[in-house]
Order: sequence, then C-alpha cells, then structure tokens
Amino acid sequence: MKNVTRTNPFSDLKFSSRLLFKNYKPFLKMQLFAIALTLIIFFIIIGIGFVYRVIFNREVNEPVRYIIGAFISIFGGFITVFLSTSNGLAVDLIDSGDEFTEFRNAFRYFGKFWWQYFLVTIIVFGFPHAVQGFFTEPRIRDIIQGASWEKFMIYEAIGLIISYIWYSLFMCVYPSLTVQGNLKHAFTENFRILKNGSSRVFGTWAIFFLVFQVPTYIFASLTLIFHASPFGIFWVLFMLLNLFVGTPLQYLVAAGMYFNIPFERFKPLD
Amino acid sequence: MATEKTSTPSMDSNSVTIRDSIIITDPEIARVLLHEDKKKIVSLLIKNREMTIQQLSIDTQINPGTIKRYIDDLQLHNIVFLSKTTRSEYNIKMKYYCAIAKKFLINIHISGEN
Repeated sequence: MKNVTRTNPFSDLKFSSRLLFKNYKPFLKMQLFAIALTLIIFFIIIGIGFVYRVIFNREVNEPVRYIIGAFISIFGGFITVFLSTSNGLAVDLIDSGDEFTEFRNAFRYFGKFWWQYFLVTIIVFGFPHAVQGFFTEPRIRDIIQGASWEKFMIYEAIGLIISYIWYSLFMCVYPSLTVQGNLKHAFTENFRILKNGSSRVFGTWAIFFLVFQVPTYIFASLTLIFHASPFGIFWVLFMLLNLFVGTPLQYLVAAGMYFNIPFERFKPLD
Repeated sequence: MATEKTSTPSMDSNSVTIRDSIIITDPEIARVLLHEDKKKIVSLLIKNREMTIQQLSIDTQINPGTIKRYIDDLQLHNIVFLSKTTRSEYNIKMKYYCAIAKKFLINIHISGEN
C-alpha cells in the first residue's frame, strides 16, 4: 500500500473536492433527505400546535413548550447523527475499490454504527456547539438590547477558535470508526494520526474553517449587528454552502487524511 | 460451459487463465451474456483487457451502481473476474475487472429429444 505524505495542506481539500464533485449525487440526496425530514417534523409540530390551540382551544403552556423543545433537540441530534453517516459514504469512495457510493449505504452505516456515531457526534460536534452557545448566546441578547458589538465579535472568535481546535483533534475518529468498527480503536488511531501528521491535520482544517465556517460567522454577526438584509442573504448563502458542500467535504477530508497519513493501524489496509 | 482454446495464463491475483474463446452451452449463462448492457460491459473488458467500474461507467454512460450490480452478476456466472486491486496516488482503492475469455461463443441446441 502506498502512503502519500503531503506537506501542502491544500492537497487534501483539493482531492476531497474533486471526489465530491465526481460523486455529489449520494451526498446531495442525503442533505435533501435531511431537509425533507426536517420539513415533515416541522409541519407535524405546526399541525399538533394547530389542533391543540384551535380545535381543543387550549393554551400552549410551559410543560408543552418544554416537550416540544426537547423533541426538536432530539430530532436535531438525530439529523446530525444521520448526516454523520456521510463519513461512511466517504470511506466507501476511498476504500471500497469501486470508487463510488450510493445514498442507501447511509442507512446501512446508520444501522451498523448508530450508537457509536451518536457518541462521536456528541463529542465532535456537541461540545464545540455548547461552547459557542455558552460564549455567544448571552451576547446575542446583549446585542439585541443595544449593547456594544465588539465584545460579541471577540467571544464569537473565541468560540470559533475552540471549535477549530476541537474539530482538528477529533474529526479523524469518524473514518477510523467506520474502517475499524471499534470505538476505542478509533480514538487511539485518531491520536496516532495527530501524532504523525499534526501539521497536515491542523493546516487542512484551518483552511476548511477559513473557507466555510469563518464567512458564515462573519455574515451572521454582521446581520445581527447591523440588522441589514444584504448581510442576511450572504449568511443564508454560506449556510447553504456549508450544508451542501461543507458537510460532505469535511467527512471526505477526514477520510482522505485517515487513508493517507502513515500511522500504525489496528487492522492494516489491504 | 466448454473450453475451446486457451492462451497463456496471465492473471496475477487469482491465477485465472484468460482463454482465447469459450463456448457457452448453459442457457442461463447465455441469457446473462445476451443482456444488452452486460454484453457491452464484457465487450469493453475484452477490448481494454481490464477496467474499473468508474471507467466502465464513463464508457457506457451507465450509473456506476448499475455497473456494479451487472459486474456482480457476471462474476457470479464466471464471465468476468476481479483481476487486480491497486491504490491511486491519493490511496483510493481501485478494483480492476477482466473477462475470462477473449471471445464468447453461444452454442445452444434445442431438439425434441429428451
């Protein structure tokens, strides 16, 4: 097996983008499926609310709101875990030998690794989101109430930097878990990858964050600060770019690094 | 299936011999081989010696998933085989498939005798 060590951090993004461009259909189907599922759930909630409020003529009180909020959170978690099966599709593209993947394979990976993906998703995405929420949510309220925005931007930047470091530290757990099928081995291999290719890992995710995450946060902040619609349009555009390109690309990048950085594997690649 | 002529063995992984020609006498195999798209795939594999699913997909304009299913069926009926597996510069695994003969002849007799 050839192991190609690259010093240029752009190479992983370049190869992954090429792979995504050639195989966009299964990933696009995944995003559309997630959107469709979200819309269905949204309309179900609206429908239940309508029946509760209009037909039974009852107030949507605190416990009901709490139940709805919990339901939305669980569903949001489910969608995030489902989208993380994109990582299985990315591994298919690189390691199946057939150089293609299909949307239905996402369900196969979900069925096989659902609880492991759930745990990894909580660690990889849950923690940075919680940190960002902790730093920025109170500031958002301050901004709405007319407070200075400089502080908000600083907290926003801190949240983003913590997210970047966290993603860089743990993203390779996904492909390792899919290949090795063992959570403990996946974390061990992830740290071996970091040990053997730290500059490549951190460099690649830095570019990824600069291209996909930073503009989204900048436009989100500008929209919030200036209440200006032109920024809002860019914010939405970057969020869509993140969903349709950034999400599958991050799994392809992680899988690409997993297969290309030389390190001691539990189960060697054939 | 009956063998007519054989050429020198050249397959590495499974030491499969590529024959000059093969006479198909089994109607089930003939049915598989006469499928329009599968015939196209086998023809391309004979012409180009060995190809990946992606290459076959580009040449036939058929979805790679469909090609994969056809290849599985052709493998099941011993018409094609996995000739080698390599890795690209970016460590992408690539499976190459090859036809087991350079020519397939179908010879099926239908008569009133039992």
